Amino acid sequence: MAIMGFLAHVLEEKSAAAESALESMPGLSTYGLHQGSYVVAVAEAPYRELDALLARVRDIDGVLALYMTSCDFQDEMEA
Amino acid sequence: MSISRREFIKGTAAAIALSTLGSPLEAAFAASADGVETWVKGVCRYCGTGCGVMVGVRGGRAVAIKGDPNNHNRGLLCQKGNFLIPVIYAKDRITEPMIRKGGKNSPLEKVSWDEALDFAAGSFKKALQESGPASIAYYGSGQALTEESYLANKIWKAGFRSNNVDGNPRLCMASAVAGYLTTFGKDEPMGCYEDIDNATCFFIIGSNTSEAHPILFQRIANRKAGSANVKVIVADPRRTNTSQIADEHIFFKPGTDLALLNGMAHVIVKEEMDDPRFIARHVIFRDNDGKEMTYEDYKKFLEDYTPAKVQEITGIPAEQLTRAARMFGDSSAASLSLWCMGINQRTRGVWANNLIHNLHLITGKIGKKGSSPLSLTGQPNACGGVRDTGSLAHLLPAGRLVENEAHRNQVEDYWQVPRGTIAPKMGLHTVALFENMAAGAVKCVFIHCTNPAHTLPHLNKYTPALQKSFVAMTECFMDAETVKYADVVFPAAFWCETEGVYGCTERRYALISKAVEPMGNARPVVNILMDFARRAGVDSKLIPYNNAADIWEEWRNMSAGTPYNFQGMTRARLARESGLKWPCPTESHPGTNWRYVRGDDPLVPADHPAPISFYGSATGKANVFLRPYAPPFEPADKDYPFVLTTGRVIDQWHTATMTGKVPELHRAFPSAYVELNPQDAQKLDIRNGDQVMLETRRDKMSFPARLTETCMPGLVFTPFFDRNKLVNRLFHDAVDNASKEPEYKICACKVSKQA
Repeated sequence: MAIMGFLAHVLEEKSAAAESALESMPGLSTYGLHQGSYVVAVAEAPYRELDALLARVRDIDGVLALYMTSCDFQDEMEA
Repeated sequence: MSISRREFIKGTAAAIALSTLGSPLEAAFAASADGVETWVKGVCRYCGTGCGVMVGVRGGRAVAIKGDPNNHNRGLLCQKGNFLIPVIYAKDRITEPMIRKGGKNSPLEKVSWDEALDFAAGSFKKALQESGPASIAYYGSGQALTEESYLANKIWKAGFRSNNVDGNPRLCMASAVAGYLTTFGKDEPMGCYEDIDNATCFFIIGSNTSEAHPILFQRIANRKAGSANVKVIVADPRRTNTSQIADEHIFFKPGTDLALLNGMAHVIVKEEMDDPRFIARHVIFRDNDGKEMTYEDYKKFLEDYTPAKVQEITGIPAEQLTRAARMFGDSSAASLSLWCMGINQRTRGVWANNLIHNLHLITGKIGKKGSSPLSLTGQPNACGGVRDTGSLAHLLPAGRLVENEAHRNQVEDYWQVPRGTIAPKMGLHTVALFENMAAGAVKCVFIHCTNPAHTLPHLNKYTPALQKSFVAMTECFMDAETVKYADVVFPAAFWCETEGVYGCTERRYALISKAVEPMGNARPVVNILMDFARRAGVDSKLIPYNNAADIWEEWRNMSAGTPYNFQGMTRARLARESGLKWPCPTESHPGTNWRYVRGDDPLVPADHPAPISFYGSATGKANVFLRPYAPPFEPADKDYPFVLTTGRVIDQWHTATMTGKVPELHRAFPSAYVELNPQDAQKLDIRNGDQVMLETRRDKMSFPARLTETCMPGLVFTPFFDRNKLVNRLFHDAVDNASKEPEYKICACKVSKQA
């Protein structure tokens, strides 16, 4: 499993709905809406499934962009 | 209370994310993820933004990555940078030297380093003996480390006495270089990323910043979200994610940007938003031939670009052009222009660059916080590695020119070679180089860190050149298209397997430290180049280095006394800090945010009578050029009624030899496609997913259709990353007269549904 921290940059006018959609996504933990337009989130998924998870995040209405802050591959890079 | 290891790592990931927003959890950032033994500082391997990264190492392997909170990206990374670690361990890494023993059609075979180096050196020696220095070439890269480019440039120009040193930056930012040179007398921007935090008007033209430079886009979007007074103008024939934050999205007919830019200048002058005092002190007007003109001449010239006339040429409503010009020229606005390949990859790319500079010079919106013309760069080290070290056919280090005898002598003296060693004639620019390879005049080429069999324009014309010439190359990945043509492949140490400096868009130099050992028998490229050069007959005294740090030391000291002065950036200092911006003449100097500005730029005397000094130019002034509208080389016509353009997508980078290794990135964009406006699709009876044939005067290829409002009617777009769809086969090879950069952004094509 890889663990990835990121910011979801959301349009301010759609931030509440976007944050709520993020909160309800399996494999994702959120840590609040900050500065009106950034949802702090951590994704946890097998490395090869992260893309599907991120694609679902990008498809949420009001999500403008995703900015990664860290990614830990330890379990999968030590092979 | 106890928490599991995974919960700890998740908590750390959240704290790191929070800290990038300036939260009080910053201390958590310093905490290592559980199990990471060391964090090694570096710079992202992808675009020219130059984001700082930290690579987490455990047991000799890279296992984690995070953004560097102390670099300009403030801990943020885009998706590509975030997935760099798996690229290191890609299955098709090249780990052994290989040669083709039986010519181009024979297979590559693994051999020893000695055999591979002797094979390459022998071929180059033979060409030198039989046909002279003009028969060999080096083709480098804006992704190579600075030390690699500096070294190759020295080996070729002073060791082999060949000025045939060019590289892929010719294909992406040569027009920006020539734009800065002609307007200001010296290359490289005067502003920096801090301008983004101070600008109140962003003018983004020819750049899909959100996909090509996501971290800069975040900073722009953040600035916009933070103040209702901040305006964004996006000029682009495509409706991209970047235009989502635009107050004015200007659609214009592809290739008419010169008229757009002169039209904005017309409104600015007509409505007296110009700055006559600044103009009188700092500007010289010149016609296309460089002849000095007056401000009145310029005003008369602009009469051809009234909003109504510009509307006829560009399709931009006159009212919208006027609104955009007013946003830019508003006396209270701090205006920042950002542009990239949409401006540079044009047969009038240098002119377009000049016209952007014009807007800043006639309004005086330059050299003040938030006001600057800042060209964005596509590769991580095109600026620091290639432009600054002079690793192009017409350049020498630190902005010197091959055809200037005094400049040659300065470099010869510094390199301790006899005067007259460096040939007085400039070498072959990229397109000319491959033409000469095809013609048999250039017999051997050393290709480093780039993939011309994928990226050259008019590929059908130039791949025979690679077939005909002896090709030695350094490469990390077996699936790079150019490997098919290589006679010798040297396995190169990849990013963070060796150390070296990258210099990004904002004149920031930063050190990538070595985090892990190279894979297999791969070696640092500086070692490969030196070993090859000695075997090919270059005097060892010319390259007396043990490692990249020695090369940096020479280059750093060589910069002293030049406008690029970064003598204060010692290796030890670079290892400590997260990048420094030149000029930086002493070890106590903090680096320069705003070049040419008194009080910030150490090269402007403290007692200079004006707050700004364009010291790069002999006159001390900047040039405003009267550049008329000119159409692209191959506009749409009745036989080929569509305009085809090309570019990047967010999850793939260049030829996808790196991003293609990461399933997370590759699956988002696994193959090329063509974007088509629904109006055009309806006329041609094309539906989403249909196979569509694109045909140009060079070739034809089919792509699945994506119907989208992204492209304006009459325009089609296809990305260039896909090696199974070498879209550059469709493009012509016309180049800008001055910069010699090809016009990748516009060619005429037919579109039809494939049966």
